[in-house]
Amino acid sequence: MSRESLLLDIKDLNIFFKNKGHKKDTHAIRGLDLSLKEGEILGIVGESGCGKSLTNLCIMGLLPDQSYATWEQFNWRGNQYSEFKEKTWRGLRGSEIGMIFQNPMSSLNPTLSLEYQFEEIFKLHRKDLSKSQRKAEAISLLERVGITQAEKRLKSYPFELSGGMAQRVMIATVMATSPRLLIADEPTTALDVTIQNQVLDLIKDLSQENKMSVIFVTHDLAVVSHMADRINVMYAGEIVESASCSTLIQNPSHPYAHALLNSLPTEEAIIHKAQLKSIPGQVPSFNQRPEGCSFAPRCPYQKEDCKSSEFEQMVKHKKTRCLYPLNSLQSKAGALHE
Amino acid sequence: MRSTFLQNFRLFSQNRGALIGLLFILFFTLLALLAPWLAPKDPNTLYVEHLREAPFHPSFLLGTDDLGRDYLSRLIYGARISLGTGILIVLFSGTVGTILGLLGGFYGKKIDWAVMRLVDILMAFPSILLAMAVVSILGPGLLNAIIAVSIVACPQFIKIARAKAMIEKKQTYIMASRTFGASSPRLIFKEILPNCLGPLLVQASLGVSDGILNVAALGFLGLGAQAPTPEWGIMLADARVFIMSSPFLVTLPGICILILVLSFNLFGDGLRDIIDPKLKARSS
Repeated sequence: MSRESLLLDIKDLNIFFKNKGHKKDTHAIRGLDLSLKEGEILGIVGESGCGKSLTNLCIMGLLPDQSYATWEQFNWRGNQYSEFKEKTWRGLRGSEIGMIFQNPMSSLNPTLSLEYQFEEIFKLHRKDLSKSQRKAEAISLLERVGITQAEKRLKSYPFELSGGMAQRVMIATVMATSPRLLIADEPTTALDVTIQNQVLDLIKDLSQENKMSVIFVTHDLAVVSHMADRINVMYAGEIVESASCSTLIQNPSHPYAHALLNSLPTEEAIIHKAQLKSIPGQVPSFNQRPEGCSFAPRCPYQKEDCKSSEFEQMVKHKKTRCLYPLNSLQSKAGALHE
Repeated sequence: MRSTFLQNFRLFSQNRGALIGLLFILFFTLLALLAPWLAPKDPNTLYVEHLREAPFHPSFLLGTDDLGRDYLSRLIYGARISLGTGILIVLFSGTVGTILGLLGGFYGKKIDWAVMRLVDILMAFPSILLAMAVVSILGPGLLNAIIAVSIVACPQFIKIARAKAMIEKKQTYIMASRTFGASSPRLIFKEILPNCLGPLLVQASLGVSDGILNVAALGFLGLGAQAPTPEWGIMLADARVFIMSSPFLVTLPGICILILVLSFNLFGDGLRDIIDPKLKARSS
């Protein structure tokens, strides 16, 4: 992988929450590495509270007030950013990085017409367009995302749209600035299944057409396997496994990735009305992480040294943050059978 | 858009009181706008032969006051002043109050602290007392009375705008606008303000009635408009000496103030009724 083709390259990202008084700051995101090629779709999977959204907000430079980030390297299209500056990031937002959210109905301003909302974006990012050009552009964007009678729709207000339509409009507004990177934060979670597929295909098409990279956040492995080229599995503020989509789905090596895959409802389970599998326990909160492997308390394969304080050192240069990745276990088991 | 307007109006007109309020407001607005044509006589001309003429006099429909001025004409011109001051007060206090409230609610921290302490100070005094204090600093006069009452009326707008801004700034659409690179002033005035307009409009219509009442009170105390301005408060004050001999002189301006203030209150309540359920339906 050559350096030039990388769109975004983050090394050792840490995000902290400030605590009141003299308590130590909470270390939320720990040593996260993230890289993204041009046109690549990267899936980020994990349960709620794993820090997926926090990572996205950090890339957007929109961390909540009481938190801050440090990194060893933040490389965006060949430019190094050594620290967070509001001014630099405002240049990136919208024009280079766009974002869509989980709840499309509430991500459009309820009191403004769609036309006005498009106007606002064009005024910020496309100053070269005249008023009639702006309108034409808005209509063609709406048509591109599959909205019929676009010209009439421009006059409507968000509450007159359905959820799927609102998400399409949202995508259209983001595409108005033709960003290099689209961050999609659970964009289909609030939509029903048939609409979900249409929206996913739309994002995929737009990504291919415009060579736009996508960071696709979800907790649904089925969705992400449909979309992504590569998947990062996050757990408790760390990336526990990063692999290509097919490898991860067919052959997950981290026990957490394996458990996530297992908790997808299978066809068999649906037919037999079997109880759905789940992962016992829950994600530890950022300030109550166990020593050693964060997943160890919930891991069926845990061993003594998973909880040792040297865990960090032992997994440091591994691709999977696990002392006993599943592939090796399975191959050992296979060896035993023979 | 047109259909929602019609729906709103139907909802509004179901509230009988609000509809009556609106009619009276329209009536007084017409009086105020067309005063020079509607008033039978000049409000400041003294007809010395006709002092304190009783109503239904052949040439003075509502009689004359103690200086022989046509009372109907004075009441009609008074509507001009009362409505005008009420609207000016709402414009002043509404603009200043809304801006301060939005800034406080959006930025929080020190700005919010400063704004809220200002509100605390203003709210600590009874409003008419504070208005009197301000007028006594600025000196009596209609314009100064308007400024004084505007200052007193600010806290209501500040509190509403601040509360609304604090809710709205956490909404996803604000985050979405941020991801488009919108600056804070843009967020405040283009994204949040339109979402606060509903409750602010209600407060504005109630504010008009408060303003009219306060200016009339200041006029009555001799701190507002000065004679010979045909202002209802002053007319009340001038006539109170004659409450026994010519009771209509006190009654008529009093009734005008009452009706206008009540109309704005009823109208405001009606507005609130159509705005509140709508907001709930939209945000859920």
